[in-house]
Amino acid sequence: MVAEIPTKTSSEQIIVCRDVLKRFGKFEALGGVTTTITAGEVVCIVGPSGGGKSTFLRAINGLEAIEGGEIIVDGIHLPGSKRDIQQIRREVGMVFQSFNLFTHMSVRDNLTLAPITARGLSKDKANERAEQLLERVGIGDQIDKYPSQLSGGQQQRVAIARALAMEPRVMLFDEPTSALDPEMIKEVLDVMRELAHSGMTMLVVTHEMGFAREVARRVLFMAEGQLLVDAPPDMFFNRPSDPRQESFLSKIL
Amino acid sequence: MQFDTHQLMRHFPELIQALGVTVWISTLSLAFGIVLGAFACLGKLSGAGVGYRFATGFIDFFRTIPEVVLIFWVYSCLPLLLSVRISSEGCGVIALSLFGGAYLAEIFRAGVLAVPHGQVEAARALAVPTFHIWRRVIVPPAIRRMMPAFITFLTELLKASSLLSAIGVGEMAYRASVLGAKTLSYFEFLSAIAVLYFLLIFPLSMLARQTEKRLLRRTGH
Repeated sequence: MVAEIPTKTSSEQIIVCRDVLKRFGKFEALGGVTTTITAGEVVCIVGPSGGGKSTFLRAINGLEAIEGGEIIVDGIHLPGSKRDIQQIRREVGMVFQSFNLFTHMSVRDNLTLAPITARGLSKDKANERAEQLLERVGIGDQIDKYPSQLSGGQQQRVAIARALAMEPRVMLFDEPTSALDPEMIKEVLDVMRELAHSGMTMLVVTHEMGFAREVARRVLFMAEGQLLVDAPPDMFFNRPSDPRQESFLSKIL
Repeated sequence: MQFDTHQLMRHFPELIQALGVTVWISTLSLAFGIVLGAFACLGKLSGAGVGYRFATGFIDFFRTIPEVVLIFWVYSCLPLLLSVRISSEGCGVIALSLFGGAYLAEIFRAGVLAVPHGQVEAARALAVPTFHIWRRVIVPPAIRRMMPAFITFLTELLKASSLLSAIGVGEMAYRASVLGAKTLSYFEFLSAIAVLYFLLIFPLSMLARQTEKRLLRRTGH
């Protein structure tokens, strides 16, 4: 059962998805997903692997081209032209499970590449922003190191700072802590928590139920390409409304 | 049998001059080969369309036919086909450039494909323009990864340039056989150029091995 799309007319709807469809060959990765994200919301997406969570996230910034329905991000429609997609990507940051830092570049260059080439920032301005952001994620002293010299947790914090350097309006997190050793998960979640409290709109695919419970305003449950549940965390975890959600929760909690 | 040092020393400057021809013909062919190879690589990476088919045909064709056949063909047939006169050196450079372009295309492609896809995806997600993705994210690590194969190819190219003796290009192998015939000192001259080729190519092989080792240390696989 899909909850009603929240009708918060007072706040801006920053992402609107209508019947989003995506297939990989015969496999239906997204079978008509409809939802709305309001500016400032933190929304966690949970569910079994292969359920379409990542694909949904990747459709929002055009990394996966959708085959049906539409996505409107900050007023720009998908499917759209290359320009539209670039426009969306400037406003939507993404953090990947495997960090995907540019391994041959220093941390500084990782953070300044996109602001300089995609936003037209001066080198000085981009540098200044990089320094501030690294301070913010707690690794200001690592700016001249290379990714391979950092721990996994530090690398993921660099990746978050790299995305923030574009000053996006929305941040997408695709299982940001799944590749981390347990002792490093907290430092990354702390950064995300701080980001959430600063008012950033966040979509987080995660298996960290504690984080979802504490930070999310809504929790979405996806399985088999369908968005099956959309509920506030309290309700989501205490009163499951879908049998698949119930079985999923019983396995992980 | 005696080693005629006198005969060798008398003509040695000619061998050194021929070594110069070997080097400049190889260098020029390498330069053209890099350009051809880059285009063929991009065509093949495009995955579909006219550029892809053209590049695939080019690569498959020139990697398949023997170098000697290619050299003779360019020397004997190409001038007829285009009804222009081409010097034997020109033919040599054309043939080796085609050969080089086809091999380098595959070397370049392997280098590009070795760049982790996630990094390219991250750059796209950051809205980095395609040109800058190539310039900053793909090409630098790709070059580092292709370096051992590239240097090894350079040694192959230097060796292949000796085949141009068949069409009378005055490079080392040609000069040595001419001098050998003239002085009847084949042994001296052919031994001498064997040593010269070795001195030219062996350091490159060592360099290739070293860059490979350094690469393994950096990437860890």
